[in-house]
Amino acid sequence: MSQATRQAREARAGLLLSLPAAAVIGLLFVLPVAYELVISLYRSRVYEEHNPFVGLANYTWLFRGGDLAAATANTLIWTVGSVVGQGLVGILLAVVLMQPLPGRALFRTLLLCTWIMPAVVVGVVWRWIFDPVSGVINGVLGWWGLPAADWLGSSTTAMGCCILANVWRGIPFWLLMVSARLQAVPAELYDAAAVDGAGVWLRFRHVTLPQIRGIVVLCATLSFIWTFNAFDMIYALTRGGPDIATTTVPLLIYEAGLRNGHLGEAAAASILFLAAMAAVIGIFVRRSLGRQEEV
Amino acid sequence: MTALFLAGQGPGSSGQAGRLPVRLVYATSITQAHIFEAGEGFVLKQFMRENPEIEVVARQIPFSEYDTQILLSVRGGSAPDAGRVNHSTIRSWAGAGYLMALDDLVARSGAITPSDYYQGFWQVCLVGGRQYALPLTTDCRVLFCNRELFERAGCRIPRTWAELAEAAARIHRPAERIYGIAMPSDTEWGAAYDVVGNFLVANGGQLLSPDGRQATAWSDPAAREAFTFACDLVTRHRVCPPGMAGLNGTVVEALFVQNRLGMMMSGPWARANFEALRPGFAWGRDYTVATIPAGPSGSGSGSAQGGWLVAGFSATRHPQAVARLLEYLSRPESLARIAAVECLPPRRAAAAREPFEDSFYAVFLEQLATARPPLALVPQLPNVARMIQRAYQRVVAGSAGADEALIWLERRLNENILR
Amino acid sequence: MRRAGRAILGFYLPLAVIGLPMLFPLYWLASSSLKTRGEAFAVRPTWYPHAPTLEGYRGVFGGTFVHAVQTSLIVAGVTSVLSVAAALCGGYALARLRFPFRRTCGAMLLFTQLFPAAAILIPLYLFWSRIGMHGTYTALIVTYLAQAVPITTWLVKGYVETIPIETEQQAWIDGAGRFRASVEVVLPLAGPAVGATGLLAFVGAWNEFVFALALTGTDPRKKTLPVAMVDFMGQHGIEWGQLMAAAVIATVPAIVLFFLAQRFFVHGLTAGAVKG
Repeated sequence: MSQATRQAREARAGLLLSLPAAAVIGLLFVLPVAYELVISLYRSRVYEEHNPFVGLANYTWLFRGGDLAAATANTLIWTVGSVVGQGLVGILLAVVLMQPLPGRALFRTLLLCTWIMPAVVVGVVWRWIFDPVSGVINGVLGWWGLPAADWLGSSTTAMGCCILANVWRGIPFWLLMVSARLQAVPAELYDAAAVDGAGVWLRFRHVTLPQIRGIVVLCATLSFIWTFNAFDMIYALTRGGPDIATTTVPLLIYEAGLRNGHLGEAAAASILFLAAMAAVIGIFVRRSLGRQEEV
Repeated sequence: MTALFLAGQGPGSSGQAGRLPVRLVYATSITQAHIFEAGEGFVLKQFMRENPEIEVVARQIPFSEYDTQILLSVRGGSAPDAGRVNHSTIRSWAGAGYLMALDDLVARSGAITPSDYYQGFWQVCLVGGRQYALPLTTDCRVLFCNRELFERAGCRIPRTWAELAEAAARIHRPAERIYGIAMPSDTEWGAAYDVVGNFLVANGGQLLSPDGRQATAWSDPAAREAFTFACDLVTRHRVCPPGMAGLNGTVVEALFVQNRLGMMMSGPWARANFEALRPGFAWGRDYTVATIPAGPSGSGSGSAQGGWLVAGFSATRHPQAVARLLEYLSRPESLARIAAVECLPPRRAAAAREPFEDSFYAVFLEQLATARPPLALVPQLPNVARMIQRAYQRVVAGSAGADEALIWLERRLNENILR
Repeated sequence: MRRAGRAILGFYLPLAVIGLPMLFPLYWLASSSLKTRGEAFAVRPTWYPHAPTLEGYRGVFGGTFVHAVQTSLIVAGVTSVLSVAAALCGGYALARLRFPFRRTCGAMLLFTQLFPAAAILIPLYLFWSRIGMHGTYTALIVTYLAQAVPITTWLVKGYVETIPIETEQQAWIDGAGRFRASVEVVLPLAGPAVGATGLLAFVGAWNEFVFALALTGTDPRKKTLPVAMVDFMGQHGIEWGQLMAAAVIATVPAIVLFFLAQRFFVHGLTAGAVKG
């Protein structure tokens, strides 16, 4: 079979396999983007029948609001803190659970369980745990004679607590993905390193880390995007408060736009938001799929 | 009646008019089974028994998502035929054309007598002079006083704000985890209605101008005074439990039934919640209720009023059946049933029935006469409420003084929200 | 003895230190589901229910909650199976094959993750309503697939890339057709990938709330679990006992699934070792 024919067949196979998925998804993605783009150029209030064209007024309003800078900063802290926390603990647990010791299946199952509750319920439960009056944390502190604190009501600790709850919830994702990847690492690599006299840490650094690098980058990107977009949990935990200490951009969009039917402003914020995130994804895709050309 | 109904069947209805049941979808925010089955569920079943040609299917939507879901369904073409409308959203929905005009129904109906309704709440249903809804339930807040703590501290039921602060101070003993007064503040509605709202109304203050175009949070001295007092309870008098920036309603109630909270301001639903927390915690023996003390600038007691209305949606294909349903729901017996667990009925004839004859409700009904929604019912109300919560949190969390917060609130509302 | 010491240090100790605090909120949830509301909100929290009660569970079973478990299982299960199937195709293509618009396809897949659900809710809802499929399982499942397939595809791509191309080329040389060879080589090694992505898709659909409420939430027989749970949060108070009980019940099918899925993870290891 000639090179050209093989390439052509490969191309057709590739398109055939991925086109249906891409098409359906493109449709479900292009539609909303187009809709949001159009809406964002009009003064579109749910309770007003007349929707005049206002051009970029909805975009400039967002910047004038004064909360955008704080919300963006909050979002970055929230996202980076969550992803790093989830990632570190998740990878650690995945590595620890590679050891075929008794109780492993049970532990893995239990640890995956923090993942399977809807964000709303997780938020409600953690709100209760953090409650200054009847929460467990303050209860334990009181038991040890330490003073109670208003965890979610103080601007210094509120975001940290939200991140803690999110890390708790997101660890299983990392645990699962990294574990699956580690399963495929040939045991000979570890044996060879052990023969060379490498201890636990060196084995991790030179064998494990390079192997999981790919999956870690992917998980980090996905996790970053999801955390950036997350709404339900923070809303249930603090409503974005106190003041705007935990208001992230999705909450801002909800409050500024959707909550009182200001659809135009909400659409404009969504589009801006999308553009910023698209840049992140663009970088990732270029690096990940670009390299693949060598195969 | 049947003839009228048959005559009203439009082309949208199926085949032989009157033979096949007309199917109405009724939207409600009550999702808890025991409340629904005792209230609207029961009344709807009765309605269907008395009107076998109409089938009513309830669409129960969680409270926190109610407005969004109704909006979605209206825009998506699957609007309900009738349903609840929150007093805070009627202007918005009527303005958008979602609701049926009910002037004819009110004019010709024998069951709906406007004069029997509490007038303030009846006015809420009128938008631009036309009737777009009928009152369904209403509520107001009163002062709950824990008898054991009051007796122990030797306090009397406060009749002025100064007495309120003093009583709370006498009861407040944080080292023993006993607190003076608390209100739920974890949602924007809690902050706007339960925390700040009561004092606003009791002081005759207005945070928004009546036409809703201007914020007067700072400019109106009575509003300023009320907000400042609400904040002072936490920051100056220090008679509140920790966490007032976002205190959960159940936590407040739990403190109260454990005899750890001297006073709280809440509505008729508190009684059922107390029962769930501590069966046997009884009105009269363990706690009493009183009207909210008038503020220094107020002309009398006042309380934050809320409530639900019921309306027909203009997209319905069975307007006659909807009118029938709305009329049935407005009968005193129906209203009394629907309001029984959590709220108060919006008309006197219903308030004269079970269970509202119970003397527990006497204070509530008295308070209802002086209650009103704490804010002008602008379409941007949820956002206004959220801003009030933010201003309150600023003061309570210590990052601003009450005056600063009010100035910020007024500026923000004018520049950003009420555009 | 030294081996036992190392096992404790390297396995049980980290699991205890990290795992116990992680599991504590789940324990709190479970024990709260058995407490009376009064005890649950006592000012001094109790570590275990002093007067255990089943009132929460009784309240939950009285309603339509059991249907919700069934609905969620169906929706999440179908989403999971279909997205793994789509991912195997698309992921292999992205990893191994060169075809035009490869990068665009890959990018578009990820772009779908960009929008928070609330932002695309309205257009999506309108779309399903206009074509008359509002309130169907299909609408929900397709929406979930649109969310899950991009991620699962990228994940499978990542796993396929870790399989050395030589292994496949060896099979082609050995005479099998290109397609069959790839299937016979890749699939056995993809065990962990299938397990992981299947679980991911399942959990994603299991937990999702916004679309579930909008698309099927108004029909009591078609509610999913998250929607059914929010039903316990009323305007004037949360039915705490019932909510906690519901949350506990909702984790049971997932726990069973996780336990069963463990076998996927062992399988891959042995298959890799045989090849040498």
